[in-house]
Amino acid sequence: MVRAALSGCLIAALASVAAADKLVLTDGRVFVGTVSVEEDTVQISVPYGDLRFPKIDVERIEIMDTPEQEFRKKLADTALSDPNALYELAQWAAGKGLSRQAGDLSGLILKLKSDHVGAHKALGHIHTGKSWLGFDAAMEQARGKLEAGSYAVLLEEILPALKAAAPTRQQALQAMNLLADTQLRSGQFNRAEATFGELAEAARKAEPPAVDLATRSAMIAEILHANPDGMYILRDAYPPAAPLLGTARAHIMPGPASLATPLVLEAALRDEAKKEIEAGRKFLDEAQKLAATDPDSANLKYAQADQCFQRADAMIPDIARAHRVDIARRKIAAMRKDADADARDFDEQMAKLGVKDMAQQPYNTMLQRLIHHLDSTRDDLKRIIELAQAYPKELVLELKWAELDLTKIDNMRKILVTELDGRK
Amino acid sequence: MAGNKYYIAVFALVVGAAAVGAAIFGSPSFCPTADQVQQALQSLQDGQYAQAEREALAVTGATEEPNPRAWAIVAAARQRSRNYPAAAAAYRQFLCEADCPDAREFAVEQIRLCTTSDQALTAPPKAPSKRLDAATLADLAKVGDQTHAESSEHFVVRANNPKLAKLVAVEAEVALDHICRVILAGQDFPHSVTINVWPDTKTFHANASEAPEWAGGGFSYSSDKGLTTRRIDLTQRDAKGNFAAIMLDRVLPHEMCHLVLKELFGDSHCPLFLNEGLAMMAESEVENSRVRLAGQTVAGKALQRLEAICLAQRYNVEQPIVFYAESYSFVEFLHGRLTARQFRDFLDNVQQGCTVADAVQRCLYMPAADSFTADLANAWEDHAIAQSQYLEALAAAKTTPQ
Repeated sequence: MVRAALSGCLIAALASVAAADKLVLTDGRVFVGTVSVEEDTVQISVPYGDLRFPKIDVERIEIMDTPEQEFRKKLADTALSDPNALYELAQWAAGKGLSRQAGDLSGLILKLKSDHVGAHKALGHIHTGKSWLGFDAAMEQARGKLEAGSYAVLLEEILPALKAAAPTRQQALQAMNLLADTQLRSGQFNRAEATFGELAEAARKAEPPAVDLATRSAMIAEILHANPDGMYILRDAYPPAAPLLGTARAHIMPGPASLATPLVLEAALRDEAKKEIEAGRKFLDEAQKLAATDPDSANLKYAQADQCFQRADAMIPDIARAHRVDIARRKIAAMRKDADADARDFDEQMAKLGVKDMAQQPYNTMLQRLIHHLDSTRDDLKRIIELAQAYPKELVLELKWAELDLTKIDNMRKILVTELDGRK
Repeated sequence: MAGNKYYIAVFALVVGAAAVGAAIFGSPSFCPTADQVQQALQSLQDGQYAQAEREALAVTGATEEPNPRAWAIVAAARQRSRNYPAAAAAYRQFLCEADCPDAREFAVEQIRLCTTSDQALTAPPKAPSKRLDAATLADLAKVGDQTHAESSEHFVVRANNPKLAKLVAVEAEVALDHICRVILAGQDFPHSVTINVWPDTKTFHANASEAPEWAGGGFSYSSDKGLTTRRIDLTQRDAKGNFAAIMLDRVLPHEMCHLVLKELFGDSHCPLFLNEGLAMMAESEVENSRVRLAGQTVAGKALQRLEAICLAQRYNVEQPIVFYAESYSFVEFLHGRLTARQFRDFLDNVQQGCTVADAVQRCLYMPAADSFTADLANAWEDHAIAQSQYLEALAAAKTTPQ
């Protein structure tokens, strides 16, 4: 039964086994791969390509087992009902880079002996209390413990294990974030500051960089650096709508409060996000002044504003969305202006058409000019649609208008092209 | 050799400075009184204000490592216990030590709030006409043959009664200060306004042609060849020939608020509900009938009401009395629940073309939520009903025999 189960999961892995031969050259160089002997040459396929050597340069060829073949032999000699023997084989397989086989074996070991520590560890499981959990489940449980205020067990046992067992860099960042949050909530402000600083650095260096996490963490580290006693002074109540809407949800009153309280940290981040929004709005105002006379400089200002808004959104998700919509709306308005100017030119040219008799050549030239106008307008409309699609709910009118106009332009273009082709 | 020694000393200094710099800027900061501060903050959050004050005072006065920031906790504990003078004193201590601009601004704002809260406990505001005796009121009803002019910082008042012209000039300055400082949270008004007080309704309408038939006052704002004219027209006497106290108490501040809003919004559109709501708020006394009417009409259908109010134009208002009552109620609700800075931002956002919901969310610096308009309508409904019920209860208490 066990052997059958094991065979099922391992056969697929072993199906593509290739021989691993060792080719030793007379000059001492050694290559490992699949050797095939031809007339005067010996060819060896290595992971980076095929190599061909004259026979006289070859000292010897050693036919060897691949790790997979060796694994199969070892597996045949292993008592499949003995978890420790299987574990030994799994360790050997892991050492040879046969991680899938090692994982399958570890899974099998746990079927035989569910509390096998080595197999659990090999699978990246984390021991939390009485049970072993996978990384994601353990993270979920750790978050629950954080909400429940079980800081000691998190800091001493669970988080170090999570950090060590994180299978990917992203998950390692998650574990680090949870560690920083736990330190903060337990009032270890200087440690939390250091961990958030490290987290910001790690997030920045991650592939791909976790920009939002890096911005947020760096900002928390700064806030903690400025408030080493963990006291933050809220200028407004938080959440900000609480006094207005009178929501039943707990809120923090303006005044001094502890950064160990999650809402207070959120409020501190919101204050920083506000500063970014205010800076972004200044860039927006400057862009608006420049838009009519110097569109390139205006676009530069829009880009600077957008950077500020992105930083704000990294601290409090979507806090600056409305302002980013403003940028899109203003850019669309400027493009509309261009498109309208093109449309006016087009109308003027169209008005000239049919007023007097024209020779074929000037007539064709005029048609081409009209098509050019339409193409220019079409490009503007496509860019408008691209911009508006990022905010379909807020810019629904801009999107619909542009789509309708684009359809009209396409139809007109078809007519002109047909006319032009007919003339030719 | 001596030169070498010099270079070694400089090198050592540079390395030392770099190490100290790294220690200051690179390593996490540590505060020895953090635990005590946290304890005091916990007490404050739990509503144990006396205990929070004691604990925070112990930190401020600690001999080895005093933490002057803890004065903020002392102040907040006193403020939340409504001990405003002592709270203001503690905020001043905090202000002395505060090293960041945000903290300083916070302290100054709280000192102002403590001072105004303390005054609010002792002296409720009074309408101007309530401060006048019967003889003065009779004097103010007199109409002479000559027009008298009285001027103040912002106003030139013309009336056929010198006492009235003087009084209107004084009250106009008071009203303008209230509108700019309190209602519009720091709006400037560096302009001159002409106020004409016409003896009766007939002359008022003859001279203030833009005013509606039913109105007892009006304002006008016009520009011609770079010259802007700001003008308010008022009526001195009512139909019975008595001095129209309503002119001083309500019409003057109401029209002035419209004028200031006109200046603030410029060519942008100021929604009707906001314009009228703020103007009614500027009046020197609350009209209780409006509050009652708003509470009665709003119940159960606040969302439809709010949407209709926000989009109403002067020509499509179906029930003006209800609309005015609801506009007042909603604007007063917003003004009361937002901080002065937030309300000012709200006005700026509306002026820039935002919808009311968007303007509110932007001034609160919160992510936009789909449910916000409905939540706002619900909160306003609760407020309007509560205010109305409060007035009903007061009225019932007055009529119930002891």
